[in-house]
Amino acid sequence: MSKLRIINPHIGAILSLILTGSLIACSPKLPDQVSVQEYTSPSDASVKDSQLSKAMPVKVKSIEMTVGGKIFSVPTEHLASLMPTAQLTPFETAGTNTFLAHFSAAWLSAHVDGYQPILNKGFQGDAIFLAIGEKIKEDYSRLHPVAMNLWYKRGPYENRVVMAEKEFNTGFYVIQPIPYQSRADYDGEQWFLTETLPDKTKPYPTEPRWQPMTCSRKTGLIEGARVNTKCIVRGKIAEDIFLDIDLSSENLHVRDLVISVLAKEIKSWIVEKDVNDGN
Amino acid sequence: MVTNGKQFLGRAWHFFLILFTSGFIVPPITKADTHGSINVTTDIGSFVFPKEFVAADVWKTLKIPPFETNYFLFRLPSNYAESSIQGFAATENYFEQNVVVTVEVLTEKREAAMKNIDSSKCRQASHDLYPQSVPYKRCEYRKHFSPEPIAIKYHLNGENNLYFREVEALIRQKLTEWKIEPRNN
Repeated sequence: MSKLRIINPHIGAILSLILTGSLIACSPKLPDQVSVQEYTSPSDASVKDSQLSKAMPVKVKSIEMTVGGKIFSVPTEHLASLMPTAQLTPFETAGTNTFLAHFSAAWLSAHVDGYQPILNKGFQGDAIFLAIGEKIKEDYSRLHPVAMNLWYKRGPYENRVVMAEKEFNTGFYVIQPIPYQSRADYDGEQWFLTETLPDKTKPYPTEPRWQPMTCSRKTGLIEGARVNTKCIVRGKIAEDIFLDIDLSSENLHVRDLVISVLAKEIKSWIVEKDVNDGN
Repeated sequence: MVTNGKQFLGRAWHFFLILFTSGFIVPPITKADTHGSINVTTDIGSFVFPKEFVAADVWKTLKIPPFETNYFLFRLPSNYAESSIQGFAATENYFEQNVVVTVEVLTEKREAAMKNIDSSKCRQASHDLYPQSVPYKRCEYRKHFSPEPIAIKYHLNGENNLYFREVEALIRQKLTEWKIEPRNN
């Protein structure tokens, strides 16, 4: 019995060794997009680059996704699910009618004149929320209750304050809800930017629709991260494709150009027309 | 006593085994945690630049790995630009003048739009650092480094706009230093 006790640890150790070896052999290889290569200086990098080139597998450049009745061939660079932040925010990046696309600060900066890629030492590129399809078209055609309440100065916005002059930085009027936290699920400071002043004595404008942008101060996930001010800009890029993008106030002046550049790019991903559109 | 000795040997072997197997596991973890230089792989080869030229602190903090893209950012630190370019001011209106550079490796499609671009656009801007608001002249420059398929974009503020050609030359010099030609094999 005592011999067995002595032998058991040895058998266990051998089994552990075999098991560990098997686990290492069978463990999935780290995708290339998240692999890390460290270079200490440009001079010795050329040597290491040859190793990198040999190890480089054939890449899939785009992935097909069916969303809202359309097929999109999304370049991998724009897949939000592959971005490091997707590992920090465990939510779905694609649904039946929606998906998140990622546009880096560098991409937006290269395509949009006047776009500033880094502000307050933070990158400006972000995930863009895309909503697609006939159902979405119906949803988006409904008037937004927040905007209606803001216009008519009612509900949670009955004490709203409108700045009489346009803000110099952004060129928009500022509407400040009082209290600042006017949304049940949000406890941060929030305000709205608009191109025209609301007037509760007049009917709510629908053509074009009065569409205030929601702005808020956001802090990063990491300790010591600076506070960022972001405004949600909504764009209609096709009859049944809508997007939401967060822009810093400094980049709001190029919002139309941002939407137009994104519209061109995203529409170029469509590989098959909506089966319901009859064309 | 003998049994105890054998038990000790057995446990020592376990200890050795843990040390041995951890050698396989620990190095990849520590490697993934590195704060080394940034390697960007583009269609025309890689650019490897030291971390002091990394565009924003967030990169280091989030440990964003090397990636494949034709678009990337880097910065010329304000002190580096000041020491490299005579007349360039590292601070203006109390603000650091790091030069953020957008680099685009042009595809055929994009080359049609960006070929030989050499432009500047200026506007009056102001720093949005509540409650402080500091006005300044801000210019955006774009340049195609012909014949290479590389286009850049950067901004300069105030008096530093006088030195945009020098800044452009410095950017080109750094990109040349950092570029590694692709290998065919």
